[in-house]
Amino acid sequence: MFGDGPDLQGPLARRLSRIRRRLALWAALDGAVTGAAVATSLAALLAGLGRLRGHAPHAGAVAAVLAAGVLAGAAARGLRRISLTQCARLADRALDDQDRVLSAIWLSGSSSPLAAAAVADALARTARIEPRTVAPARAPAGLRALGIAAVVLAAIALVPSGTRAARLTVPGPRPVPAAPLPAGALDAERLQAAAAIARAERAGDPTVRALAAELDRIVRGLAAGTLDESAALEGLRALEEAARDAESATARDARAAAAAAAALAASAATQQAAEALRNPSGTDGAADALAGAASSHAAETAGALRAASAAVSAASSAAREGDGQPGRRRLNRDGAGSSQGGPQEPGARGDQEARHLERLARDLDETASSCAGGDPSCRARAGSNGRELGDLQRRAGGGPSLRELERASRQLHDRIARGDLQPSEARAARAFAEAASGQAGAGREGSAPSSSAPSRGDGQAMPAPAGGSNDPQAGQGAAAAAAAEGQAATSGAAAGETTEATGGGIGHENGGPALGAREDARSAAGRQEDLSAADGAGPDRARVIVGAAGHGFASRPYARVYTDYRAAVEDALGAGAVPPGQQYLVRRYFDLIRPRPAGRPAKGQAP
Amino acid sequence: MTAPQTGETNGAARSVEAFRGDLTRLLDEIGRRLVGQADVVGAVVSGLLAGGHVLIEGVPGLGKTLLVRTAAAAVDLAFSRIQFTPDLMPADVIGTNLIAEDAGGRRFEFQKGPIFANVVLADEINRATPKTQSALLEAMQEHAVTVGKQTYQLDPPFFVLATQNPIEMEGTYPLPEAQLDRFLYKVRVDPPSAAELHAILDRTTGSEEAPVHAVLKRDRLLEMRALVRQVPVARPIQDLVVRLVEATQPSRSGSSEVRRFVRYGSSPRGAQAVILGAKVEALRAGRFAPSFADVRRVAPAALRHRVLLNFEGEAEGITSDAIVSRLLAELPETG
Repeated sequence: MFGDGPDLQGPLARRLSRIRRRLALWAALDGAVTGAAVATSLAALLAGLGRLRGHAPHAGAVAAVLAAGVLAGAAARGLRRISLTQCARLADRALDDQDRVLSAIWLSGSSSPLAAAAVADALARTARIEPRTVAPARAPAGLRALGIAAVVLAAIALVPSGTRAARLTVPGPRPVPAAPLPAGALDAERLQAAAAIARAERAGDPTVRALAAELDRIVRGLAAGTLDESAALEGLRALEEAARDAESATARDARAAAAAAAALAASAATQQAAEALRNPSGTDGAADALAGAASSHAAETAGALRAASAAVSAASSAAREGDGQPGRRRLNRDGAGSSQGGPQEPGARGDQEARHLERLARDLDETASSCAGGDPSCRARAGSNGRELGDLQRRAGGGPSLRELERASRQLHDRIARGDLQPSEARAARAFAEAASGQAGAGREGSAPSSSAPSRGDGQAMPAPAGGSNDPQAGQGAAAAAAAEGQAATSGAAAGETTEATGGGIGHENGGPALGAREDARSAAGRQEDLSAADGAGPDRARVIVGAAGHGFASRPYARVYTDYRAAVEDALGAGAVPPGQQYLVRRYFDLIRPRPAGRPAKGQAP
Repeated sequence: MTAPQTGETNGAARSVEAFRGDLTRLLDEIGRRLVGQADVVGAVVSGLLAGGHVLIEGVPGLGKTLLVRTAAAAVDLAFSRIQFTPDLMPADVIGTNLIAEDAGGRRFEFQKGPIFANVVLADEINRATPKTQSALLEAMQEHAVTVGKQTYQLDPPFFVLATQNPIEMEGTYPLPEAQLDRFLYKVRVDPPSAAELHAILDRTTGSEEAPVHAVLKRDRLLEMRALVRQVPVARPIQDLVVRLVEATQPSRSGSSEVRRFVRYGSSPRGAQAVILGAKVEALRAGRFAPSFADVRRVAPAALRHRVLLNFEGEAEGITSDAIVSRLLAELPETG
């Protein structure tokens, strides 16, 4: 309201003008510092952005920004009008803070003697003060901000940054699915596989050749990192079983070949053929020897062939009895070697071997019959039988190769199970995990990772999928079956039959809630609510009283109660029961508690 | 700026200095008998010099009557005391027409009441009936009394000092707000401190009481009153008073507390009281014009009985002093 002040002239005005100039100077200095701080901050920001883009700050541009900020700030603050009233108040504070100068500049136009005296008093007092005492030197406002901004700008300008090429992003290493093993880690297994292949090539045994090739494939896959350990373990396990089966078949073949050779050795005509069969390197001569015997001594040869047929048939029967168990499940799921010369299914291979022996026995018997009947094909048939017996003897010699294959496979299996092929950190973590779970020292044969359920036989049922049966007995029975068989309850068996409430969650238990089943919603019938409250948030006393006056306390309407009491009070006042000095208070009291419409009275009005 | 003439300036300065000296002597003289209560004494003397009346509120025994008697004795003015009681009649205050008999026969002669004095002590004013209170209050405002068809002027200076007891309300007639407004100040008398109590005991339990001498004559007092009226007030100072009085009114105040707790704000008499009190304070300090500090010093005594609380304010225990103090703290000196 008094920003401009009166139109003042004279010595007091001149003194105040000096103060005003000094104030303007300080204001300009404040503005310059503030502007410099803002400009420095802006320059720091721009320099930082330039740094990020690889440009060095330009000193000229920074200086220009600073100069512009200083000038703008000084102009903005220094040219702001400072009133004489403001100067007078500062002068009063420098004096005795009794507003003498302020009063004087407002009373300067008055003709009152006291006003003139006030002006003279102010003149006399302001003569003793200097502008510098009114507006003393001080640190400009914004100096601290300027210092901080200057430090930031200096840091950005002086701290060296890398070249643009150095800031290029370097692509990270490509993820490798599996780390290849160190060179030479599987040399022993690789050599064993190569030796087995070579032996199989020499022996002409396709079975051994296929198993050796499978071992070589697994070794190469592990070495190159293209085959993970779990797949390698499964392949090795299948390979070992196939090798064992092949070894047993080889043993049968050896027994059959030995029995046939013994039967042929019993006759003088076929003794040469028998010796050829017993000689591992002379099995090719068995065909010629047997064909010659058939052409020269047909009847004797027929008898020897019949005896050999019986021996082979007996060996076949023994092979069938030995392989009488149902076919085992095939475990290698990747199909490696199933159709391209890989290890065949052991049961099927046993049957095939048995059928082969039976067919050989029939062929020997038919050849004996043809020779005994003078059939001209006797010689050819006998030669063919000799070749087959030679092949049988040759296959029987593959047993050591199969054993070596099995040993090499088991050796590799054990190395994987021990973690010898893992990095050192993973190996340590695995050892720690085993120690923590108490599995240290447990056999690793059955600890191969598998996606199937635990094999202990307690068949934990899985939560039922949507649409599952509600029959509790079905779920219970399936779970019990799973427990009895010692196999995991797969998701398609027990899991599908289990319900949330009654399906027998644990396979060997009857009833009880299923694991993972949701809690019955009916058990949470209550409702919990969080209410917030704060001290002092309720109505104050006045509002409570006024509200009570509006709403009443009891069954009788307050307005009626008030009317009755007010009438009684008026009667009492009229009868002089209340002293005259008290009547005012009584009436005021009843006026204050009079019934009012609902709602609070307007503010500022009497309730 | 008009250059002050040396003679006028020197004369004004001498007047102010004389005022200050006389006022100091008066206060010192009162202080010879009355212990402590500097603020109360200052307010009473300020009211005396400003031409207003003062309402003193305090419990019995705090020296209210002694203060008034001492002040009256120190200024050498006619003093009368009226003890207000419920059966006090207006005629007991202002006087009555009596039948006088002399050689010329019988005639009515006005017998002046105790109100015909320069300093009137209305002791326990709230014990009289409103009718009697009104008789006094008419004299306070008009400086005249009317009996029948005759109006009698009261000799200046006419100064009423009323006291009331805030705790004994039984059988009392509280002054209505309109009558409270007639008082320049309402002063609260607080109990003395321990040191003051020692001094009181030393002075009042001895064999002799300190005599009080008249240090001011009536004419000098009137001159001082006139000088008070001549004190100029700068517009920013007066603007603070105007804004302060406006701020006490609920309909125009920017303070939420005033809008919530105040029923009626100060009247223009309140602003007059503040300005007059500030003038006295300035002269007392030897200055020629009041300052913002003078306004702040006298505002509570001048406004506390003019700011009337509503029921909500009374129920919440709010006081008028708290309202005025809050306003003084919130209002900027230059708006």
